[in-house]
Amino acid sequence: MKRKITVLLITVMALSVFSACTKKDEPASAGDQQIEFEYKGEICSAVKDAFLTEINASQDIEEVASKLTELKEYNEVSMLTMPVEEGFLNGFDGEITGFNKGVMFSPAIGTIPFVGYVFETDDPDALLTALNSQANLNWNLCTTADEKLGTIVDNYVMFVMAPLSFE
Amino acid sequence: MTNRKSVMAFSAILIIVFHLGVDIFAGNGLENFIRQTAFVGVDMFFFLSGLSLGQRPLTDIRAFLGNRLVNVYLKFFVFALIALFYKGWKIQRFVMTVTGVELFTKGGGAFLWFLPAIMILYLIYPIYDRGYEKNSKATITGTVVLWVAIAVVVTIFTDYKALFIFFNRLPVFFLAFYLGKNNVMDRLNDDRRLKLATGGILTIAGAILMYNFGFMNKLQTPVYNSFYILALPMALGLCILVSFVPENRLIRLIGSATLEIYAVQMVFGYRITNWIYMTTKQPLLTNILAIVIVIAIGCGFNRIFTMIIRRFFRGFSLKV
Repeated sequence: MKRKITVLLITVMALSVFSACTKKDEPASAGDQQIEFEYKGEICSAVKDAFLTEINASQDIEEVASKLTELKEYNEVSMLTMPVEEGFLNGFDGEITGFNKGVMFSPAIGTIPFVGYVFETDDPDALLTALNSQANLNWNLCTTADEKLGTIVDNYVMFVMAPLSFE
Repeated sequence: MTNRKSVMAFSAILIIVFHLGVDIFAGNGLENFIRQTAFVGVDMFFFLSGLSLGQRPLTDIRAFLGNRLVNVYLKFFVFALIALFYKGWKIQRFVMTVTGVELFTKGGGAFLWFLPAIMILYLIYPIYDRGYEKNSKATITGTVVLWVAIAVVVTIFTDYKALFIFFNRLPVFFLAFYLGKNNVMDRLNDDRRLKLATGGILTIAGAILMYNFGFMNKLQTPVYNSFYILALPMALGLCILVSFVPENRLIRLIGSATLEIYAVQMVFGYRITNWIYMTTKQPLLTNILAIVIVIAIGCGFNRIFTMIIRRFFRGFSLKV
């Protein structure tokens, strides 16, 4: 009986090796096809509109990110900005690389399910593909963002994960 | 466990830090690490639950379940009712919450997920305890095999992740139950130096594991959200170390109101913390005031619940 249980246990543990082969979206090659983001919330929509306006007015991504923290759609939730470097970033399962400069904008309270980034990069398509494939809406464990959105303007990428609205 | 209320109070504060903490030094690695791994307070609660159940023989299943229904589920139901009106939920969400369905669909995103999760454990526990009393080795082996099989099969063949926030806490619960049954913690208490060394080593080893696999890069193999399992040493180590802190009146007050404190932070905590931060723009002051206010409101709710339970549910011990 003990031997049977041992064999069963070893078999199950061996099967776990295959878990390394779980389905994971492979990032598309740069320029393969445009990533289409489906979003319906007011937050993503407002952030995108604001980014498109601000990035055309200024190429200083810290200034742009700062403007993106001032939207009325945040319903007075306090927001902060912080420069980021290549590596593990909030909201993503793997390391994010391929950008020259990056700024994160997010609520002061870390577990509110919102995080956004503005990046300056030499290859915006590849970066956006990587961001989209690595994004984890449940990065905060106890709260979940509802949707994600990324957009490119020249060599600048904006990526955001947000709830449909801030209650 | 000695000074159990100290451990409970510490765990409750850790969880407030995790949910409502505002960065004091933006970008500081140590601060980020502490705040983002403070979820280990949940593992500490699972440990305390398992330990407590292991240490006390289960003589009356109906009384046990009745006690849990009143002291856990009833409070959960009341807070869900409060959220229904305060947060403007649809009735559908309220029903999904109180029936536990939301736990299975949203996992950690479910309203007060810990409460329906621990209720499920309390419902399963009498079966486990009966099996353990009859044949402890077979029960332990069978549980481990079943747990591994389910975790691996779900990970390999599905994309379902929601319940792993709870499922991966089962090892710490059942380990604690085993330690409780075998009076391991009592024996550890007899040797303070050994206890201190054990707690210290586990905490340091656990912190290293958490830094590498439970912080920015959260381990997802061999099963989904495996990093929760790796939180076990840190949870155990912190429980042991904090049990050195002697209880006092304040600690007992906080330690008795941990359920209400958890609920208050999830219902009102974000609004309270945000308001304080907007008003003061001082992150350290915000954190301190948010913790104090959430605890105070939680203790207030606890007082009310205690009066109601004593009046209308006499006979149900308040020991959880």
